[in-house]
Amino acid sequence: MTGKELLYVLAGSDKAQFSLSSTTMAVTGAKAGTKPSAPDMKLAMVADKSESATTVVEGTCPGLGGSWMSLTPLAANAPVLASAADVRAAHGKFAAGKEGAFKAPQWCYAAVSVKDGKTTCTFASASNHKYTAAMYCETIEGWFFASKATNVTAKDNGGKQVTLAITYKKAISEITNNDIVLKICGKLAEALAVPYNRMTDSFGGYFGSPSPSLPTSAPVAPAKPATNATANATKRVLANATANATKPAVQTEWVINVYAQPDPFAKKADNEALVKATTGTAALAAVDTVTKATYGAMTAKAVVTTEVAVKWIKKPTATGGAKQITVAGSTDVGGYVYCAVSKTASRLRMLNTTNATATNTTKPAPAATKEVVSLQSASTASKYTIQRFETKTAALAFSLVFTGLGEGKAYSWMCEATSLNPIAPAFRTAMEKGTSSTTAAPVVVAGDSTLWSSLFAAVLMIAAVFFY
Amino acid sequence: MNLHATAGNFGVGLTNATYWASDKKLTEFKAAADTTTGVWGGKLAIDVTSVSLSSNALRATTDITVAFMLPVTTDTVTAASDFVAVQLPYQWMGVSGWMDGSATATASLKLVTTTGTGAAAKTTKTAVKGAVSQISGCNVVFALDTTATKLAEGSSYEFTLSSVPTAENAVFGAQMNLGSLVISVGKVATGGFGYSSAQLFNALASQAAPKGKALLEFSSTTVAVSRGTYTKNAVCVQPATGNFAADVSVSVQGTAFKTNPAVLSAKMGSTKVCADMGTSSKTQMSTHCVRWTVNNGTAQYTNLPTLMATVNGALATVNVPDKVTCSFDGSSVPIVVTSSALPFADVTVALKVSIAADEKKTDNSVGITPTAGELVTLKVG
Repeated sequence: MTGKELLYVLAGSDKAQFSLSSTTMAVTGAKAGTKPSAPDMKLAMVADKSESATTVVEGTCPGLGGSWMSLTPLAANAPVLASAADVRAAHGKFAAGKEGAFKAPQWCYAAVSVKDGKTTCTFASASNHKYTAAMYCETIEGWFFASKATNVTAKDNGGKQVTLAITYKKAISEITNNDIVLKICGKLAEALAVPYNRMTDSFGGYFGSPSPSLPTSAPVAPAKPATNATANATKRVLANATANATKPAVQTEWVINVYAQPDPFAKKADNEALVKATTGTAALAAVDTVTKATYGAMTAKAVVTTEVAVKWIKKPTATGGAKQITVAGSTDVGGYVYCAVSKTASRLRMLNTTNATATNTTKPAPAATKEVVSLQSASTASKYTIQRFETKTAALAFSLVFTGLGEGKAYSWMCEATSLNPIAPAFRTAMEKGTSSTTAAPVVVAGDSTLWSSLFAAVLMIAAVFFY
Repeated sequence: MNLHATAGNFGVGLTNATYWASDKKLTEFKAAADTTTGVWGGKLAIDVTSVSLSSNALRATTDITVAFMLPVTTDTVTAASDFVAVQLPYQWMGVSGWMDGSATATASLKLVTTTGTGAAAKTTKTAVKGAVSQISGCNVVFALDTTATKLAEGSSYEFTLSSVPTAENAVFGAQMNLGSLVISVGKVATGGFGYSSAQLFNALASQAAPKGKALLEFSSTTVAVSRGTYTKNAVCVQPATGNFAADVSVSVQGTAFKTNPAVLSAKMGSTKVCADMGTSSKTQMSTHCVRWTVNNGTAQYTNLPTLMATVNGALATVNVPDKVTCSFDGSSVPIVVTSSALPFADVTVALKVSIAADEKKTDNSVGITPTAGELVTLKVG
């Protein structure tokens, strides 16, 4: 190569309004070196450039060429891709700028035109959300490199959930009056000018979107001991000054809990301001527009709640029964336990998965990023029946019964426990999964004719013995 | 009233200022003859009896009705006037549509005659034929038709300016009561001769957002745009206070200016929404009034004010590397092309071989092969 330069040509409709930073490009040739075996791509989050809503990740390719970066929610358990073709395909499917991008896999591409030039990508994120980043390079020599998966946690803006307890003097239920509760959430959201999904009921439902784990009926109060007026009639009743001490108090107050979530995209969350706003004049007036006419005056108290990490003490296990499956386990601290059982039974019988014969020559498909399964989502609720149970300090065990299933059929199930936040918990256990079968239908005894013929044969036998 | 053509006497008195507060007496007085020649005196202002607005909502329209009487003057200077003009107060900040000619004004004049008195009084309003002949940001001139009876001193009139865009600025709208509207009459051929005086009629009411609606604002009411390009995040829309209380979307009117994205959509709870703004390379370099439509959220929010966009001819820079290193027998070397602004339509960058301008036409690119037909296109989308 004896040439030394090329010229740039600027054209297009608006060329009169633009000028080139350089009209010539000096070109130098260099021999290709040897491919590095395991280059350090130095993939890491750039903390000082990141905020809760945007996470900046930087890395270095070991040569000139193209570089790609991905950022995927940790829960998706995204694999590192093994070829440039897979990377191009995944990047090609990604559409930038979509709403809610922070909770889906994101990609970015940048050309590396300078030796040791850094690739810097800015991704959408949310406060304290956990992600996996990966970087890929394809150099001008045709070499492909993939970084190791790197865990990235978006900046924490310090936001905490605010619990607003609204107390009424008339009976109101978070479950049977959920439509009213969601209207309260909606009016509060409008009064505070926050998105509807930041003001939820106890089950994570919000205005226009009831929770998938909302029970179909209110829990039944423990049955009162049966009164037995005559049983002790013959016995003398002793003076009992405390006779009515254990009599259940008449309920005079009903409390609805509404949860205000902090802004996950704010640089810095102001939790105390959220407490003040939720109990401010405008917020309370908004609540009154929904309930005052029917349920009367209310009082409201808001507190910042700190979530506590939750773990399994006894991992969930499922037991099949007659047309039902029971999932039971326990947690170490109070939390929400979500369990789901598939709405349709498995079609295929589970075979031994060990495949001793290595004759499968089909090229394996590239490992795909798994869809993030959330037991708080409507998409999961469309395929699974979801139940939620709140474990408490004195009652950390749970047992959830899923009824109405088919007989003798296998159903997949899964469970996770979260900290006490109905929509965006800070802590989650790993998702426990399994398959359980309901008991088979009992064997049906044969029909009348068989019964009579057996009976007749028995009589004949007795008669034969007698006459013999 | 009015003018005095002949001289009279003046009285001149002296008093002791020390005692004036408690004992107002002159210690000396003398009458002096005014020997000045000429005409002197004053004339009454147009007697405005009422000013009423059909709406006091910001960023809406209103009908302004002014009832006035032309006082009789000694020299009948306002008699036979053939125009009526209205000047809006400073706090109105002008009507942008009148300024750039994108809107016009409609007005009407009626002669008000009252016959009888007391319970038998009967008022008749007769239209005086005419039309708006001149408008500017704050002024409207209504010229009488040549066939119409000219204005007469001592007569009462009702002038109505219809569908006037109300103030857009919330701060000045709130101060509208401090402003003064001026009505004047005169002759098209020779000018204005009679003016109203603010002291004589009621103040205008303050203007505010309509009940139940909140103000939608730009983070800045002015923006600079280099023609042929989009200016990054030039326009940001936000509520006047707090976050958006509903989903809102807005878009620019007309075709002279575009935004990227074309529609600015803000979700309930967000603080603001921004977009790039650009204009064609053929747009005149001046300040333009850019108007907007609120597509979604109209139940909760007012219209946006007019955005003043100053178009300049500053050039943007396409950044290209001035040197690259190629790998022998390797793949194409990547060339990163960026620009300081997005083109309004497009610009392209390509590479070509370098041939020297000498007699030999020396090829400075021997052995370097730019990929034929390959170019970088910079454009929105």
